[in-house]
Amino acid sequence: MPKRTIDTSTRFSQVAYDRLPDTRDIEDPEVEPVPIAAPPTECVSKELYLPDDKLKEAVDLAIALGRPLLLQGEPGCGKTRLAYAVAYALGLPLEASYIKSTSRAQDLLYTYDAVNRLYDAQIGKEVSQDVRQYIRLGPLGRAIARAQYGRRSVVLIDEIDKADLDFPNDLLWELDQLEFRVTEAPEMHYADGNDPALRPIVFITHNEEKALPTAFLRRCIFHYIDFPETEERLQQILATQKIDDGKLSQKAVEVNLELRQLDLSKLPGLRVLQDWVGYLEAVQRPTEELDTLPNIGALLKQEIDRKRVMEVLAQKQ
Amino acid sequence: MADTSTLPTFLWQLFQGLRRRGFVMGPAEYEALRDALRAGFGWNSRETLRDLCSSLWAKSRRDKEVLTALLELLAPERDIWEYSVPSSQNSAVLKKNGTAAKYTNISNPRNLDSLTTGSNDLVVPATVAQNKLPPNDLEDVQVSERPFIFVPQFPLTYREVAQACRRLRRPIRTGAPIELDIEGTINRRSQLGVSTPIVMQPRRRNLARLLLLVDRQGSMAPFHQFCDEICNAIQKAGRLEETKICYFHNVPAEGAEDDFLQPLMSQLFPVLDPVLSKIQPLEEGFLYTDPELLVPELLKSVLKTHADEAAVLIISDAGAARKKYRVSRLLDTVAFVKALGNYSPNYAWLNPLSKHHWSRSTAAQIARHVPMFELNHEGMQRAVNALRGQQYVLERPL
Repeated sequence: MPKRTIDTSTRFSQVAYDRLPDTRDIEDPEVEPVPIAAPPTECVSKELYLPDDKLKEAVDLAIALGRPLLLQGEPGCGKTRLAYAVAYALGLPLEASYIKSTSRAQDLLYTYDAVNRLYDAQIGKEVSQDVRQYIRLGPLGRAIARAQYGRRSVVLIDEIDKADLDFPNDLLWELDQLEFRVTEAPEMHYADGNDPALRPIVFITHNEEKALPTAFLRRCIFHYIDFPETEERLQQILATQKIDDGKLSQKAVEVNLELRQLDLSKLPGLRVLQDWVGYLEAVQRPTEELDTLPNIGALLKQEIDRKRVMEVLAQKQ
Repeated sequence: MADTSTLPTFLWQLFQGLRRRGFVMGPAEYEALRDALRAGFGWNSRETLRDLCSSLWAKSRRDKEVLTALLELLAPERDIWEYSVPSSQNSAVLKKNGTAAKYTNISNPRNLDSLTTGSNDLVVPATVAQNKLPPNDLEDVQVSERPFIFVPQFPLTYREVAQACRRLRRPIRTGAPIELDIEGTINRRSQLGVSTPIVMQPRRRNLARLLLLVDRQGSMAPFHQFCDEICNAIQKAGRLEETKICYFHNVPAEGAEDDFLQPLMSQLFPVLDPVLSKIQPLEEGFLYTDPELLVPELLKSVLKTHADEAAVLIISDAGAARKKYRVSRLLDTVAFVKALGNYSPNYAWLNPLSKHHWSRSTAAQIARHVPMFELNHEGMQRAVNALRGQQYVLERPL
């Protein structure tokens, strides 16, 4: 197995994310089949994202070593959005695949439409003779094909633990070598050519629901995204959401940090907090009312948590 | 060009230490760290080095805790270490001093942010000499940030249980027909000769069921956490159709008839072999659905609903913990296992104590009649083999 060379030419941490323009023209990933040259572009708008330094280091490490980055963390803390942010920052097309329980690893590479070919052969269409017309590449397949044609992409495999246990096992060889061959049409062979500057950047997110196989974990770089601990950090993240009322967001941050001290069964995540503050600003709630936690259904999703918090609030008054 | 440079000693010790603690690491991981160091990662401070090691070697938060504690133990105090890279074009010696990391001939020098040296922010507590004892000097004492590791490390890990239970499979096609049945379609078309719609078949699902009977309290009290972890692992990672866990104390069923034991009682350690055929299967008794043994459920109904065509695993020390030999316990257990055999032929016994503890206790006798295995990796694999129906040779089968 050829050893992969380290490529330190691309660094996410060195891109000044805030200074990037609000929209960029990036290659459209959904054009089928993958164009060999001069791909059509689409206008992508910037995702508001604020990664911390450790996360940037982990992304750099993953890009340099050519390994997938496995992200774990509380729901709603920005695992999926990281892939969008990195794709935007580096100007690369993003191939996203959202895994379901019925997903198979083969589908990430390509799908062969056998049923339609059977129907066409029944009718007697000429096109049914050519297998290649019935092969559609999946997200990872398109990324590898693009690498063969000399362009880099970012691949996101979202919530990999929802699939069957065989799913990560079936992906091992393809993720390692970044090449594959279509079994139904052996002349279709895609490889990234071992050029480190063209290797697709792979992000895998994980919800801690099921344990992943060891052989798969060994090939990944692991990073756990924590909920922001300090107030200033939380403020900064809220600021990226263009919440203009400073006092409102400050009060919201305080309330949220207090909530996280309580022993709740499900802590409110970052996304949930952003939505709550955004709503409060839109309906222009006065800041003092935040102590009574209006619209608490947006923050706490379980009845038992809500009762607990109501008790604590009642005690404080 | 072969790279023969070696990592600094403390990183090599970290690597070995993690392997001893059950981390799955091989030469590829060693090489990965070496490559990352050469690429310039992990030089800024001890924190970045720790983050680098945990990104590469730790695959969960628990692993990260263990790795951090071990690294703090092994890392040199004032962050002075060397790593030389013998390469033809740039013979650079990467040296890390306490205050700055200098290296030459790397294509993209990293931005060195404000560097912090190791752990020198600790306040040294002041000590006062008491009662003519010599004063204590705490100057050189290194207190780690994480003095305790609360990550449990059991003889049988979550992962090993998951791997073993993966083999307990009964894949049967049930449910809605959603998959294309290629063979069926071709057969139907060739039989009928006309164009017919395609034939669908349902997906394979694992219909294996497991009944776990766990001994609690008394002599099993030291193993509570271990057993909880095993039960948790089987439930979460076993991917079985149904996992039912019931708890009991010492024996699942009690009160077997013991009239025919009289002639045997003259011996010091009576063995039940002569009267084995006379023992009646026993189903009277209660099992508990909660670990505190508070919510009872009839043993008979549990066996009827959950043991039918299921695999049964019994986790108990069988009297080996207290090294006692009690014929009544042996009798009750044998009677219960006979009753169990009526519902399901696949059962196995897991004993948290190792084999040499079983001798001279009830466990040794039970092991002659029931396939009993230790609660470790090998024992779990063999237990699953027995549950799958593989022949297990017993001294005196029931």
